[in-house]
Amino acid sequence: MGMAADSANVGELGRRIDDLMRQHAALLTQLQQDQHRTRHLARSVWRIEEEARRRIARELHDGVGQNLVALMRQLDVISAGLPAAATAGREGLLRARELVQLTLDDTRSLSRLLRPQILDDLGLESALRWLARSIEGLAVTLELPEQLPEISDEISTLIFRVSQEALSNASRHSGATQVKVALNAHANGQWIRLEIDDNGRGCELSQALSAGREGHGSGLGGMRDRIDLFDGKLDLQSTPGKGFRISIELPLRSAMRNDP
Amino acid sequence: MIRVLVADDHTIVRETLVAALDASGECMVVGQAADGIEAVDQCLRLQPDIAIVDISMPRLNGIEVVRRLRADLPQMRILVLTMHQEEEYVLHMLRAGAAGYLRKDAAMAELLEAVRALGGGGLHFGAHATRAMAMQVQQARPMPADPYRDLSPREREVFHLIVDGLTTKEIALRLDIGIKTAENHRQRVFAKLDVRNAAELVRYAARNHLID
Repeated sequence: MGMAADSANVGELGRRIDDLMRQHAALLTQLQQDQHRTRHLARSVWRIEEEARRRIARELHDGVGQNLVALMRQLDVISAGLPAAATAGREGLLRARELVQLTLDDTRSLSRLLRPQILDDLGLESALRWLARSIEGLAVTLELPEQLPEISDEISTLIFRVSQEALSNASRHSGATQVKVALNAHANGQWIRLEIDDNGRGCELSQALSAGREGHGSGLGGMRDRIDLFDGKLDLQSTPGKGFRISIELPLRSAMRNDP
Repeated sequence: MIRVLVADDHTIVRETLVAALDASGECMVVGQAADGIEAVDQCLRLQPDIAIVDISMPRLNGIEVVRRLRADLPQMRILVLTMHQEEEYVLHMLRAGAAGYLRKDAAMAELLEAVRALGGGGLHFGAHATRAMAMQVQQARPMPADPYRDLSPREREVFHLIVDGLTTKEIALRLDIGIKTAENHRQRVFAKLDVRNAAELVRYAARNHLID
């Protein structure tokens, strides 16, 4: 009798365990789907943000900027048409032209700050060369392969943004004077690796990662999140007093590329 | 009078520029284009002495416009007039074959100086462009390699046979190789020279003086 009751209990227990296992599996699937969806959403958000930056930058540069150029040309024409004796008028037009020039320069800087057009017009390599030159007070050496593999717009943007962030950190916080940026493809062109080394003060990694988190997702923390979204790897090495090294690897063909 | 064509997609910029050029009495604007394709078509039709070309244009960007015009109208001079001042743009345009490079906010006097220089068969580069070129020389970055020299002897043979108008089958017969091998050579030549078809290959050959 006791034996029969026991085996009934065992049977019941087995069924419950099976039930729990099934529920567990269903939850796990649900969780994975949710995670997948969240990542997909985060990538869309990033893509839309970059696209908005691209559009505003272009509008500033090609819309507002070009109108200012046309205005300058108009002032030139008016000035050329003034009689020789109208020196005061010509002086006034010259000052107006200078003001337009200043506004144009500001518009250009603002546009570049949002997203440098060179990245879309001439590609990653030219954009990195420009970036390397444009950081003040920092000697940047660039090591690029003779031929870069084909890199999608998104990955190009990501590589550019990481480089920008790293160089800006090096110039603002680290006291570095020299930085080396190296980009190369490996694993048969399936992966691209970016390494950025500086000779600055270095820092505690945990501190570096949390800095900038509370802001707008910039900083190293934000960088790591983005690289994660593209199935990439981020490796940071630093010893206080001995410089800082960022190394990222990104798959050139992301598994999520063809998602709906 | 120097005959000029102006290509710029920004209407106000283009029209003020045309008005200023016409008013100068030094040149005559014979045509205008609002995008890259139109620029090439108009130049082929009107054959001006100088084409003033913007870089950022719809349908076909300025770099490609300059490349095509250099191949099709080698005697025409091209002045790049652009919002872009970065070294990389200057070098790209220079390599494509531009004879002058100015920023759009250049004073009218300098623009006319450039028109005169190019009209007389010369060159004119603004301060930014000149600095970019000086940087390039001082940093001694390697200029892009000559891809033709990277072709193997066999690939060079195939290159010249394509230029002569032979089909893959004819090339295979001529060189006594299989059609598949001939096709492979052909694809490799295209890839190394970064051209898409035989017409582009012929243009490449003409541009680089590789045709008798």
